[in-house]
Amino acid sequence: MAEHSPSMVTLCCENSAFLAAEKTNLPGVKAVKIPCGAQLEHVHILRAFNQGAEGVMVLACLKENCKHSFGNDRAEKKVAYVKGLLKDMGVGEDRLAYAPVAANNEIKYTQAVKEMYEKLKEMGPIEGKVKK
Amino acid sequence: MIIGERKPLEEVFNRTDSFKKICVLGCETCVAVCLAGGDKEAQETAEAIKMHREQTNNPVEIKASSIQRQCEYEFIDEVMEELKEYDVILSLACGVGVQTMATKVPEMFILPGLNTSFLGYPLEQGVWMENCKACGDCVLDRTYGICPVTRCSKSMMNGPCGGSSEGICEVSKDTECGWALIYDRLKALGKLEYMDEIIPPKNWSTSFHGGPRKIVREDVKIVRGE
Repeated sequence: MAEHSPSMVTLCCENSAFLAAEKTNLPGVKAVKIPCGAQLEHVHILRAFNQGAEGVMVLACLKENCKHSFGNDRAEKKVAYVKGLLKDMGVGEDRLAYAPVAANNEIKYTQAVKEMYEKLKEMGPIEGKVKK
Repeated sequence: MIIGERKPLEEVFNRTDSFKKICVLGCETCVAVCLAGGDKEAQETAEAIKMHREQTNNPVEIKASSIQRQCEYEFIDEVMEELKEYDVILSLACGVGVQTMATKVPEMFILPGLNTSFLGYPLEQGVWMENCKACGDCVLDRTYGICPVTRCSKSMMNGPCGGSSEGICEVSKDTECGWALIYDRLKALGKLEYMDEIIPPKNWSTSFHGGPRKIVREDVKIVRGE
């Protein structure tokens, strides 16, 4: 049986993680630019899942290094909240993760995303979800 | 304002599972301010339902929308025709909004997506606190801006009682003693002697134990033909 190739979305702050993501080319991973971690809403994460993602990773600035002061902290809290929703929905909270990444650290971006991608491979498709 | 909290998703899923066309309707007044039932939360709930339906292979046509207030007919009128296209409205308004919707659109199923919690205010970002029980006979003039009905765990009209210790109520270490708050406030205002005033038994007949309350104002009622 062919190995499962999950589709993954990374929601990246344009001031940090997205600049790192631009320097990478990871198959199966779509990097989406967000203006700041603070601009992230719960619905954006859920929408990514509804539009075909099997895993979502939110990446924002390093601790105490947000251009808008607390956007990264807020993004982390929102991820924690949506993890709860995913758990309630039976999708599994491990399909969503948060990581802080600096703009010049594409190596850390690649590591974090690849690690999550490997986990998604092990998890397989979302149970019951019709593959689009 | 009215403070609410999103119902557990499992409950929302169970109640809506049999419907094929759902409109999740947010209310942009109180429950939007307390981040429970506004437009953003309506969209979030709709996405969650969509995701659940996809997982359970139970297709649904779902739309998220919102109106300024679900507790007034004028605002419901704006979306009436659109709402009729759906099998059910999942209302993210408070209980008042849900019931106003049900009265205004009697031919449709209206389900609540929120639990209406209390009348309160935002203590800080992300924290809301009850501070009015809508008892219908306000005593704030006698307690100088702090409600003993709400803030005292026993709703005592004269306090504090023996269960108050260092400003904390015996009910819970997280609950401030309402009467200690009143005392502190009077002390800060330099009017501690007001604590000696005995408040007579309260008129509870205006409270919520005798069926729905109603206020009629003849001076502002519109009489047919006027």
